[in-house]
Amino acid sequence: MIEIKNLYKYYGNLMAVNNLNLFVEKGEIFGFIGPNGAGKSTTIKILSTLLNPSAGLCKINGINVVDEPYKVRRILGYMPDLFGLYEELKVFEYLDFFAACHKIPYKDRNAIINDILELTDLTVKKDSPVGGLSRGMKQRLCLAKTLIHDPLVLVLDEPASGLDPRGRVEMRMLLNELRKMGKTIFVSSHILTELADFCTSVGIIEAGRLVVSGRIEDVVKSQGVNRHIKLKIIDNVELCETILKSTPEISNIEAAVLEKVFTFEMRADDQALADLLRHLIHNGVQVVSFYDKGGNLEDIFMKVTKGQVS
Amino acid sequence: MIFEFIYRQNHAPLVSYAISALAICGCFLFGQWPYEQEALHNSFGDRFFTVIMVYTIAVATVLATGHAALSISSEKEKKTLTLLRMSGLGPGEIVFSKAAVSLCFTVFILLPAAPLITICPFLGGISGQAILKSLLILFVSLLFYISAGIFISILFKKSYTCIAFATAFLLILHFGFFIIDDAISYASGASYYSRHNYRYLSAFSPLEMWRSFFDSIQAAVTPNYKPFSPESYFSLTSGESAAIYFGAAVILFYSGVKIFENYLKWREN
Repeated sequence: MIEIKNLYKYYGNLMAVNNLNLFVEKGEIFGFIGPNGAGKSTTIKILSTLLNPSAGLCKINGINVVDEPYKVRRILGYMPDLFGLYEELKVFEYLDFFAACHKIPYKDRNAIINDILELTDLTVKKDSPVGGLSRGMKQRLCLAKTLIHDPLVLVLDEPASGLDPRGRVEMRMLLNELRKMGKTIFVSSHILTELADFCTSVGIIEAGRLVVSGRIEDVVKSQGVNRHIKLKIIDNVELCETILKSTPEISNIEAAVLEKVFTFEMRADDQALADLLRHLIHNGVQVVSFYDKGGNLEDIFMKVTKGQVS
Repeated sequence: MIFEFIYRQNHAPLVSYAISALAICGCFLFGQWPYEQEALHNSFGDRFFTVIMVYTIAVATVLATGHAALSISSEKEKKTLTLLRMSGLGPGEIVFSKAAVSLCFTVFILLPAAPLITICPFLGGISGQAILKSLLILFVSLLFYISAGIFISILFKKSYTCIAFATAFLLILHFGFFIIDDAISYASGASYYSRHNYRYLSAFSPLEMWRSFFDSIQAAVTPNYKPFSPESYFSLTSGESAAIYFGAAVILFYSGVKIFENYLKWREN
């Protein structure tokens, strides 16, 4: 769905993007990770037809973003990191205006806007002035605008930046909802825990170069990074601790004895995790929950990046 | 799409008094407007008309250029231009919609002058034809000023820069040619007092266009009227000047649409 080949972008002498190669399958949520100044926003602007690359190829659904930008814009929804809103309009009017821009017939607009308001949980604010919305609501309104023409691909630049914890959770739930609807989502962020929860694949960029990319499991595996596991049991704390300590792949065991909760890191694939769980149960440990926290992106990020900027 | 842009500007308060102004005009015009020159029995109407039109032209010039110069730059400042560009609108739609909004805004502001202009033929000294011609020239001028304002607005990012350039543009357009002509006259040996006897580029100034128009009104009602007509390399009637401005407006609009996307991408670099 998204294809980037040998992409370069120079700003004068500064190389913002350096030989970037990426492929994002249909229906994936691709997390584009990198520190500030790594080239994320530049790549996203090129993908969104707002900027021409210095060299290389960029295609969305097979359409070249340089040759046919208007065709691309019809199938792409772009949400910038910093955006403005027509604050004097009401929420419904705002969406109606962009629906008109997308040439959605007048008779269909009402139903489409109501659906999107419901999806973004803004129905109650339908008649409120845009200027009076909170930051989180404005963010959701911008996302609603991005969805108004039912794009195949969503390109979101730091969609959760500046949001409070509740706003972040809501944004995450919304993106998960969109994923279920079959949208291909390309999302950039430097908040790794946020991406780890819902991304199917990731790419880490530093100083304009893509240092690692692929499906999260594959990346974790290839980088040899430990998986963070949280285990809650009912009894047999000592036995459980013994089993964990006797497993060579496990390290950094932390036990909260009163709560009967263990957290540990394990260098293992899914099969090894399943084997460990079966082994615990087989030995009489009553397991309440066994959870792969997946917070490995931070480890991978720290491992593959060196803190450079373009 | 143009309607959407105009509608979102919330011109409702302006529309109400525009309708009132048109209603007043309608009352005057109800089968009574003297259309031909024979209706001119004294010369008060043409003087009154000149005063009203000079104010109207001045307001129209400043408002149209200023409003258009802010139209796209303000979108850039509010960071809404990116959303508009990504909304499936082509550069032509954005540019013409913005131009339509500026045109409507200026026309709404100018409409209260309409009853005053409409009454002029009743006062004598000017025909309905001349009034219609003046309004046509004003409309063409508006298109030119708006096209120039929009072009400036595309070029610059900040509103204050656009306003500064729009002001400079107006000053140069209206007065710059006269200064250049004077400089050429001095350079070719003319004295201070005879420098106005030679015209080169000032024939293209809007001031000259309107002077030519008002001269034609005077000539129509004043026996043996001899307008001030210096030697000019370009001798243009008001109609010819208007045609030139219309052509310039078309070129500016076309250039604005053509450069819009690529220029904005280039500015991002």
